[in-house]
Amino acid sequence: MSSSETEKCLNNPKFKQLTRARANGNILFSLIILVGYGIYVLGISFAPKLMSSPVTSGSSLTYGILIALLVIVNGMVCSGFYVWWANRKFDVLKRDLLKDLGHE
Amino acid sequence: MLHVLLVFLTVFSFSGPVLAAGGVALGEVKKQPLNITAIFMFFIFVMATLGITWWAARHTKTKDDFYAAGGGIKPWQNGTAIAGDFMSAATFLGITGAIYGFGFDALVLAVGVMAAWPIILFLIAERLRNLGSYTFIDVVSYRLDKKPIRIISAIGSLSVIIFYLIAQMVGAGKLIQLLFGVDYVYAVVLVSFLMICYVSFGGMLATTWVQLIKAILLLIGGTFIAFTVMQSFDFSYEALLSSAAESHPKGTAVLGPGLWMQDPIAIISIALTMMFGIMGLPHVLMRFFTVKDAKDARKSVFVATTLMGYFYILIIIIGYGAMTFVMDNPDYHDAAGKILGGGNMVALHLTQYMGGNLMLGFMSAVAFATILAVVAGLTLAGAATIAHDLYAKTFKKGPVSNAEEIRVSRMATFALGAIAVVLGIAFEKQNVAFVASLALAIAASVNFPILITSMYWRGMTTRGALAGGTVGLILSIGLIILGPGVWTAVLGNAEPIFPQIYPTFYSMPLAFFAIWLFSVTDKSGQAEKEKALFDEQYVRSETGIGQSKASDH
Repeated sequence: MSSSETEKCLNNPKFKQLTRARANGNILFSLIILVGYGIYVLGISFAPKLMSSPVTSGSSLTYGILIALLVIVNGMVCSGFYVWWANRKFDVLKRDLLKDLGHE
Repeated sequence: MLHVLLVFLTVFSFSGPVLAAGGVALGEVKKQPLNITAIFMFFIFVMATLGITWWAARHTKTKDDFYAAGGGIKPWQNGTAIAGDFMSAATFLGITGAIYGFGFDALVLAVGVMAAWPIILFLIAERLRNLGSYTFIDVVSYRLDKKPIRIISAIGSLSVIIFYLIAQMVGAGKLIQLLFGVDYVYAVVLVSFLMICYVSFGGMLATTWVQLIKAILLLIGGTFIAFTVMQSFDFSYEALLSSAAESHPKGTAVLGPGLWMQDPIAIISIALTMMFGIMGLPHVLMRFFTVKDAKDARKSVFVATTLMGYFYILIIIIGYGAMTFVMDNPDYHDAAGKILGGGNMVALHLTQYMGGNLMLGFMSAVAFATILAVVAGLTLAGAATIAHDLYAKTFKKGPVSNAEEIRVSRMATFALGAIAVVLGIAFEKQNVAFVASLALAIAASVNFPILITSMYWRGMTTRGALAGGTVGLILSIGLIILGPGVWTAVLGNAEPIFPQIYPTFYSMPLAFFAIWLFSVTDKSGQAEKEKALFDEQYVRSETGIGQSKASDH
């Protein structure tokens, strides 16, 4: 790719729209995952008592196991939702942009 | 991933006498009588995969085919193969055994993976596909001074691969001895021979299919065992857990943290190593180049994450289920009350309890297949680094033809196979736990920091990347040597100089810091040029304009 082409792409409003949408989405989704994993890791590091206590009294399901399962399920759900959203949003924007730039 | 199993080996040697019943020890392995069902099923698997390799070899003509299956792998296939890299003998046997021994604390090994993969999807997969062609090193060196960057990344990459291979080979040898009653040396040679066949003839196409088939077999087996376990508790998770706690000598402590890890820094360090180490594994990153484009890379991560998440949920059920059905069962203990074959056999004892000898044979064969598939992937990544990054792009003057590069890759494959056998035999009697922790710690402290900054930070220069890579490499290796894994366990000193098994809590942030420091203070003209090139890299990483093309099979 030549530098003039790079310039043209960088200045295209659709490119800005695409990158902004993607950056926002990526940050949001990453934060959801990191917060979930953070709660789990910091929980077992600094609040082991809480993590060992049952969710409802007398139950054998502890907060720890519940949170571990939730982090696993959260990873699956977020990946699915992200792919669904990216397929609809990014790919449409990208196709328009590539057409503008004469690449398709 | 065999390292987890070996992590537990280390853990065991430092936590003193833990649980009489739950020892996850590979150390003393007695050869078992020949297991005919298992051998028969394994024979079928080998025949099928060699058939696939023969077919794949006819489609493997260019280096594009060899390294990346010509970019013609479908997302579901790639996703299943990626999941296969993580659903290994060690996950199935090692994590189950660890849950059996320690309960809740062992879950961190599964949860860390499930936190890493979504982040790979959001931040790494698509940009990696858009920028690179065969290895992650293509991406790191995109706008930097290619030679030094390829060398430092290749050192990081090959260290991860070699250490991982040693851990796999030693684990494989012992496991096969245990499962099939085959001699250790024969087992190691057999694994290496088959892996050389798959990789050198079939390249990425065969490697992907071997991994794919194995992943499906393991999912079927795991589903069966977990289903029968849940059936015996009328599908009540609650009942499964309370019964497990009743059977375990530590009681309800297995439902919460503390049996394995107490030190917060150690916990955070292992959590960081798991999560970020995965993002720097060369054999996994390489799989993103086997699909057509960024969109397919995205889809494959979704498939992979879903399958892995499902499998880890199965593993948790199997681990806690084993407490009920194996812990009190005299059939699976010797006269002294020790579990037959050690802690790694727990999952297979449960398999036998639930599905009889036929199912045991099936799962034993799958466990062997799993080792083959993982070492094949590792070896291919190593061969690509040697032939593509080092030979063709760094040391060879002038253009390298397709045929020549493939020939070098094959030679590298043979060499890695031979190294794996030699090191596998040399380390047979050693405690290889530190080797496995090294692999992930180096991936988290060298490969991951330079990969992610090269993709996202305009200001990174060659000097910064070199400094960061060197700091990460020296710290991760150095601190492991000074830590309990080597300093006390291998060298026999009384007290470790560095208290933790995993150095990542210190080595990874310091690698990032060195990248930043040596980049911002770099005022050379070269640095200015590299920063200016970021625009072009940015456009390509976002749009895929100029990406390497795919081919159809």
